[in-house]
Amino acid sequence: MSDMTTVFAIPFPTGLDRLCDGATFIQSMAARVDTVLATFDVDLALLGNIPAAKVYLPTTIENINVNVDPLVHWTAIEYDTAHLADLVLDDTSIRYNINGYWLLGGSNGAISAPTTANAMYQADIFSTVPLQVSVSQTARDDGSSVWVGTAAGLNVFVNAGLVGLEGEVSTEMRTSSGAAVMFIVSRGMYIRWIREI
Amino acid sequence: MDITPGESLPFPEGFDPGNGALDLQVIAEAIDANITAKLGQFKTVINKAVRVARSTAAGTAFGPNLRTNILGGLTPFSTVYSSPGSPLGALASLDATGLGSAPGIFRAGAFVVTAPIGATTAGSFRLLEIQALIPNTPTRFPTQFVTKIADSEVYETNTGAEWQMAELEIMTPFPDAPNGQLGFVGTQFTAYMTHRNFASNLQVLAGSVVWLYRAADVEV
Repeated sequence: MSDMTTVFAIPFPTGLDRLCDGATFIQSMAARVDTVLATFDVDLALLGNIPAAKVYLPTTIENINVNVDPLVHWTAIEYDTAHLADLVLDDTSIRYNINGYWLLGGSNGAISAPTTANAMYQADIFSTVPLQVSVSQTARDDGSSVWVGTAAGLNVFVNAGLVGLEGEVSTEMRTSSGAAVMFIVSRGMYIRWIREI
Repeated sequence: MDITPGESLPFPEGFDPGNGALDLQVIAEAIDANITAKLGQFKTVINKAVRVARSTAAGTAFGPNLRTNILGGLTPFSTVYSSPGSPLGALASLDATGLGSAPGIFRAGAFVVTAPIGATTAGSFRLLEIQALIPNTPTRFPTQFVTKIADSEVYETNTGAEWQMAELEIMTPFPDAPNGQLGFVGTQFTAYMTHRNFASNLQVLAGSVVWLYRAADVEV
């Protein structure tokens, strides 16, 4: 009676098998090894085209009313290897679509008029899956410059089964300047799949 | 003999002359070659190219309101690590030479320590920008370069010296010259510093670090 290996279940003959059935056993073994090796091809295909996306503002400036909607509304996709960004469906977010650890981050700048010395500016790139996580950076207006930049990176654990609920990454901008209108000078927001859970 | 549909592993058919030992040898060698090839592919995609450099001494100071390339020779940077295929002794620029010609997502960054050489302008800003110039064709004279920037800004905190970091993540279809493409410079990465310390010039100190690595492979 034939047996099989423990891990990959590759069949092999045992002492009670008939010698004349050797070709059949080899064929069975070849078929099983073929299936096992094909799963490695799937892994290599994923590693050769990592799920990742980045959105940005090509015109570099967007006006937002921080008292009404602090979310940055993106207008262009810089790259998207796995259908993560759909700006027609939602122009504020990139959505996860497979389980794993993801890296998220971005870089944004903001100005508001009139200049308010020592006013605080803050950019939050945040995800609500599975916990509320945010990479934020603040800076202040020095009275002569009104430009504030942020850059961030964060590893976040994602169960993509929650996609459709809050499985997304977004960016908010805030200021203590008192100005209602902020001009966003954006560099972009991105996510990238790192590894399996 | 026949072969399996996916991986082309040979196996005997029922009417083949019986030679069990030879049949097993043939399939064993085919499996061996297949695994060897896959292992090589896994090593390639996992052990991605990386380059790290560190400033070894304080650099030449530069004035305010000047967008200054800190990798342009003012500050001495030397390579701490450069993976095989990217043999740069001194880091004049953070380009992707030797980091592979296949499309990929690259991450470049810098941790920079700066200080005025004289008086300090309290509360003045220091802006660190990581910039990538991505060519639209893998040719010697691309018709267009797309500029991508990430930045971070800090404000002088009354001690003079400041520490800050910025990282840029981009996708480029042409990171390095494909084989035989002479003169193609690939995707260029640069780190710029701008400050408003009007009371004196600013210098990048020893211990600043810049890095560039292929973060992921992608299909374009």
